[in-house]
Amino acid sequence: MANRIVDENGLYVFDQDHTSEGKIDQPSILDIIMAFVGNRYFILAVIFSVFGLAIFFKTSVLQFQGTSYLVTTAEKGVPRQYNVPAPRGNIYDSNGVALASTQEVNTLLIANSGMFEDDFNAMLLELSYLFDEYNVTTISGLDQYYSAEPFEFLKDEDELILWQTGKNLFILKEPAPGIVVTYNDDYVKLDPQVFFLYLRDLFKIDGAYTTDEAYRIIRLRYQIFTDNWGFQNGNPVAIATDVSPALIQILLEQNFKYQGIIASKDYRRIYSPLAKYSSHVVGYLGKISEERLAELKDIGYTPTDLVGQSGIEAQMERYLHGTQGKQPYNIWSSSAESGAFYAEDMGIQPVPGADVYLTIRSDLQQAGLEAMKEYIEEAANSPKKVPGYKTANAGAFVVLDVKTGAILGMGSYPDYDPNDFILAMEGDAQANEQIKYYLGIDGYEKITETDKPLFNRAISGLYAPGSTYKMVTALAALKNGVITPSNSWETCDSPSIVGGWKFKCLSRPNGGHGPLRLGDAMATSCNIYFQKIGHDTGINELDAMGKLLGLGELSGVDLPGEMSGIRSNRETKKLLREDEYDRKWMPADTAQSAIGQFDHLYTIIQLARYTAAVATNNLVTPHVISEVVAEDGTILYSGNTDVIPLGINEADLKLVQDGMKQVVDSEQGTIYKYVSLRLFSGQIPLAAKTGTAETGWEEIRKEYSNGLFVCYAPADDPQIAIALVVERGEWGSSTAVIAEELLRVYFDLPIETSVGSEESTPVLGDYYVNGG
Amino acid sequence: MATGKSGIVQLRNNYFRSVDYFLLIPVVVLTIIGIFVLDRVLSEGYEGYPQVLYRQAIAGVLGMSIALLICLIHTHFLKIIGWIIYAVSTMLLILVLIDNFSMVNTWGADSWLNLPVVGTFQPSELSKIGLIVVTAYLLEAIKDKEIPYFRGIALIIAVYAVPVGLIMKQPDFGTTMVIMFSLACMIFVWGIKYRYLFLSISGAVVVLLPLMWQFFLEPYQKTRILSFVFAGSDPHGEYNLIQSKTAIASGGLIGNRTGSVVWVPVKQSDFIYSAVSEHMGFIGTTAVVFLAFFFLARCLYVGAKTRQKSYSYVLVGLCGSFAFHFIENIGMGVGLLPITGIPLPFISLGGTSLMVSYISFGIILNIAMERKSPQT
Repeated sequence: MANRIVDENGLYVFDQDHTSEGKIDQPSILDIIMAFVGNRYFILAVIFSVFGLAIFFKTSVLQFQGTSYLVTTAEKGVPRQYNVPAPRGNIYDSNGVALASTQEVNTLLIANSGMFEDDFNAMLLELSYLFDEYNVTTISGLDQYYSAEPFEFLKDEDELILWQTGKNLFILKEPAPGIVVTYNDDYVKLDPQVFFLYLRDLFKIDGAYTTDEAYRIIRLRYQIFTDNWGFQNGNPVAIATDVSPALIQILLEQNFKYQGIIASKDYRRIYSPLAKYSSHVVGYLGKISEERLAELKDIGYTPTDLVGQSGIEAQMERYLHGTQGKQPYNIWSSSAESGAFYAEDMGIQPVPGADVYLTIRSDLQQAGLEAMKEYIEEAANSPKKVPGYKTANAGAFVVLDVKTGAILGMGSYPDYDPNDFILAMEGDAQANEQIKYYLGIDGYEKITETDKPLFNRAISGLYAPGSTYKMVTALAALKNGVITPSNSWETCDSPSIVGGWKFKCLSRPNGGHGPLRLGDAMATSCNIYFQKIGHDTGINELDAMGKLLGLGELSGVDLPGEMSGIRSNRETKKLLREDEYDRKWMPADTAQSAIGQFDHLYTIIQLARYTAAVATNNLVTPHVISEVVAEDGTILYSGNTDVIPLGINEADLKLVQDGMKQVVDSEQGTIYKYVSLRLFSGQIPLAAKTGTAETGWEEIRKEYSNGLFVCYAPADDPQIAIALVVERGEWGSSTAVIAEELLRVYFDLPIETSVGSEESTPVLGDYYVNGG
Repeated sequence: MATGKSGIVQLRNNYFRSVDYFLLIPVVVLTIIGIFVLDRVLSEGYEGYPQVLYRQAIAGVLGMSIALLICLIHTHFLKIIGWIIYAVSTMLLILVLIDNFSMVNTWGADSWLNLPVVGTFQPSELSKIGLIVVTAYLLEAIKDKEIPYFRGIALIIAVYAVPVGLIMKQPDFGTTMVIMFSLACMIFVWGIKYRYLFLSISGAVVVLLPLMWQFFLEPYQKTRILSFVFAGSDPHGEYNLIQSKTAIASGGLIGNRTGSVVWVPVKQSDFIYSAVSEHMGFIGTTAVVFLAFFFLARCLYVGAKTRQKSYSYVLVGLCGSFAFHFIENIGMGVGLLPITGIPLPFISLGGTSLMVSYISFGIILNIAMERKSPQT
């Protein structure tokens, strides 16, 4: 036994005597340490700890030099993912027929797979032959500038210089005089042959390729080159659309050969043939503008996105658009059967846009627009016309559900086909020509100036209401006791001095109608009657009634571009007149305002809303959107069906409503001669008012006045109200033919041909009723 | 080692006093960190959140209970249990081959079973435990000269051949590596002479690697390794790594508080470490690394102090398996090691991984308690 003693350092040492005596191997300190260090468990622990420390330090380095690391990766940015577009929501009419829908298209993207230029070019060449074989449309921006068969530029010099010096593309210098431009210098190439050589050089296309082969490569390379920065940083670039599934399968199966090719989906907007009758409601799509993109970039819009430019497409853009997803992509694999690292369901799934259900009835749209077109064409072609007739070229109508404010029909003529915008973007020549007309460019300036096919006249066009305003005058006079239901007599003498001006009755300029009650005055649309009662009521009262009935106020329709219009009153006169003297309100102004002339300018939707208000004593909010429904069925938005009760005295209102009925039914009525409509009224009682509004151009341009017509039906239990205008359509009464068409479609009553069908069609300018 | 009682379950005296808290506490804390981080990751838009998280939490509680229940088993039943696990898991590995039971896995390998009641399950994970326990007893037998040396070696090779062959066939490169690594740890502790160790390592490098490269590795596995050795040869692997590193870097000291998250593929499992850093920063990663390696060190310490050789080998084997998981998972996340799809124990999302980790942990805890409780 070794005796342990403590040495001067406080360490145990072994007694020398005993060790030498016992000949036992006593472990030295070194041995103990060695035994400990040599312990396999300890060694293992050390090995593990080395890894642990390495991990700890590596992590810390990343975390505390984090900012610099983040900056460099952000700059280099290799986001190996691409944007997956979301299908745009559909737009349905009230029957559930899709007016606008989306079609899935297969697209091919190409990502940077890090190939050498030679291999890449060889691959693109093969790809181009494959595309030809499968009739695939390849996308190349080069085609609009350049063609190599034969060598030529397709744009003029200025555009070429702009193109070739462009900051994101070739970045060439503008040619200076005296410099001979060669293919390998950095001046703008205006010689097509030199430009071709330049591209060959730029894309490192081997000299062994023939011109045709090189051009095939160049076309695809150019497309990639247009987004070179993104491509180099891992964003795939679209090179072909409408690719057949067979070709996609070939490309994916041989992905080791066609490296970097990604099959993706895109969506194409499709408008049904019915959509062109609702073009102003549905709207159209166009490329996103720079400003709009800057605004919407944060919520996932990209420069290639299409956005709504008008109508529901614009109004409901955020609902319809959906949210694009992100998909990590798989490229390159050395063997055909494996190599997928990312599953299909990885990434962020796109959220499809919500569907919009409209209150619009396509049958009304079609009937209304076709009737309007027919009317205008007839007016334009009518042989015995004074020169102005030929100027009738435009119109608009609104059919309103009087109970809810749902817009059942809204048309504006001339109209457009929203499909043209899509087709034009895809390079359809005919559609392109149409677009020029719509936008008024390249020689179409003059005709588009008058036609304004993109302009929604129903909500943005401002028209003097003319005689259709007379219900306001009547209601204001009744409210203020100027006339009463029991005593609404007023005498029409012609000429008559009202408010210091001499007015003549239009239908009986010499003598006038004599004493009239309100009903008769409405039926004949006697101006003198309304000028007199309007003058006695006063402009402020007329204005208040007009405001109550929603005239000159935004109706709140859920479409972009609504105009509020102008109510003729003291304030607007001041605002509109420059001359101090002119700004003073004159009594005669009241008389003119009372018959819907002077400064009054309203939209057709306001007139429809006002007619509905006269019919029901309620003010509705006109709307075209019934519901917006998300993909999962949740309702994101519903049309405003609330009504505002107006509280107009029922007896007063009844009198005005009867007056509107007399317009149709009384022998004096302005449309009594219009037999077909009278016959219709025998089945469905109709209340209406015509209006012929002077535009002020009659004398100067020899143009006719605007023809307006408002009505509601059935008169005893109103369901719909209609307001329409035909610009320069002259008589409001003659434009009733369009309203009749709408009424017959709505109430499903075909025209009875047996009873005087010849007579039923009013002939323009044939009969002179007063005031319109 | 006879206890005198015939039951498989023993009621230890002072159960809670004999629990090795140096082992228990790190595991509990790691699990809690795991749930916390997973909650953040899964709420980024993972399908099935929060049900998936609840399932993970329940699996955690269940796993911990199983681990504590395993402590009640007489340690000397470990041998027979090991063989049972080995046999069952090998059978399950064969079941994977049968189409009706297997689920084609989207991540690359077909290694999942779809069993009635149990649900989806990865038998290769379980196989690992069986192999370790069985090997430990074989190694002890060789050491005690109960089995002749070469026959023992042959037996070990035979035991490994079937399950490892089946796992390689799936192909589950990660689990194969784990198994080989834990075997290496056990053999090392068992006392292989350094010259043999050197020989076998160099032999493996010279002979085995090219063989594996040629015959066993799938192309995507090759590209992963290539991309590690020669940066730039595999854009995908590199992309994962860049994203993972970016996420780690974004964590800083206390985690990324900017609200924007870095998109890392398989963040909930293979790249969970990047999420730990992203959401808990340096503090979180330090905690995870410290706890993990403290746990490993404690395992080895207990192993070194355990007299029964077989128990000690089991401990080292399981410790080696955990070590490989920790090192490889974190190491690939920070770019130190090539990318392999293996989870971070106690933290990554995945029921099988969590349960198997807890069973392994239960065995470790059992042996540690056996050491503490009075010898009978």
